[in-house]
Amino acid sequence: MDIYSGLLIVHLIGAVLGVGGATFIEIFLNKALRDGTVDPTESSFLKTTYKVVRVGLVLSLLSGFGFLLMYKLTGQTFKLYNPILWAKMTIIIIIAVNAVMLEMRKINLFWGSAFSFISWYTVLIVSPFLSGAPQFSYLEVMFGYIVAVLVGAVILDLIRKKMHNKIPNV
Amino acid sequence: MSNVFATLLIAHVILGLISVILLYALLLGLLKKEINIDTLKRLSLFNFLALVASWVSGGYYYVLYYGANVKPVIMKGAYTWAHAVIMEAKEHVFLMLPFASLALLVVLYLCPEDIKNNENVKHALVGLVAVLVIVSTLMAISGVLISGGAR
Repeated sequence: MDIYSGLLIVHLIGAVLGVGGATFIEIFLNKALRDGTVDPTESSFLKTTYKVVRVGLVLSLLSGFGFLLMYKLTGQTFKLYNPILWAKMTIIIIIAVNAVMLEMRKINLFWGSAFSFISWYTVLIVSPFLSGAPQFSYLEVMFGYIVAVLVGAVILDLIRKKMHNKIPNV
Repeated sequence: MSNVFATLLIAHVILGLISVILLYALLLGLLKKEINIDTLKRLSLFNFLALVASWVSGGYYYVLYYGANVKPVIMKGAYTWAHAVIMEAKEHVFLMLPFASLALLVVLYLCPEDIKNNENVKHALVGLVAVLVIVSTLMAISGVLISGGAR
């Protein structure tokens, strides 16, 4: 197996853990908040899923910089100025900052879950566009991302409210 | 580029990135309600070692390879700011990282009870680690910009 294939496999595993973890955090949160409180079992599931997402982030970062090193060492340095790469790096920084804000309780669930969920999916969706000539500018990707976060925040909130209303009256 | 310099560059980048990840884990660990000092001590020790190793490998590469082979290519190209601004800033700003990380390590090993019981000490340490995370992230991003400018 060559270095590129190895890096790609690790990068894909990282993305799967990150996107899958972010999806399951939303599912577990919605289920946990149906009765308005997060009990210890639900909290334990959430904590484990946060760890999975962080493992995904670390794998993605290490393999991502592995790709950048490979471009440098094989004379493909022009790829390092790809605007989609920079948009992707910006969104990964937003994921990391959002996790810190959530830990500090400086961001509410409405925005915190939207930034986490939408950011991971955006990183996944823009990645295939990194190969070949850049098809979008940095600002185009970031504009699409901001719109997706705004729309996603509203949709995720509607889902939470709908699930909350489904609690049977006992 | 010879295998020695390629290895040094890979070591510099990966160890620097590991340091960013460890500092980020330290920040999240310090923000928890129940601080696990032993974990933070280990993270700060590995961070310090990774930073020093990244410094030595990067320094060796910079002095013996970058100056003669990469810098002239950047200065002849369209992205002269990659060296004139980014690298010039990076090589000076980087210097604070190992020493600030050493300070963090010393505080964690010598004053664990103060961190747990004194909110002011904890807040000061969170501030220090946050600055380290931001600066080390900027260092990683600068490295990509400098490498991309050499064409």
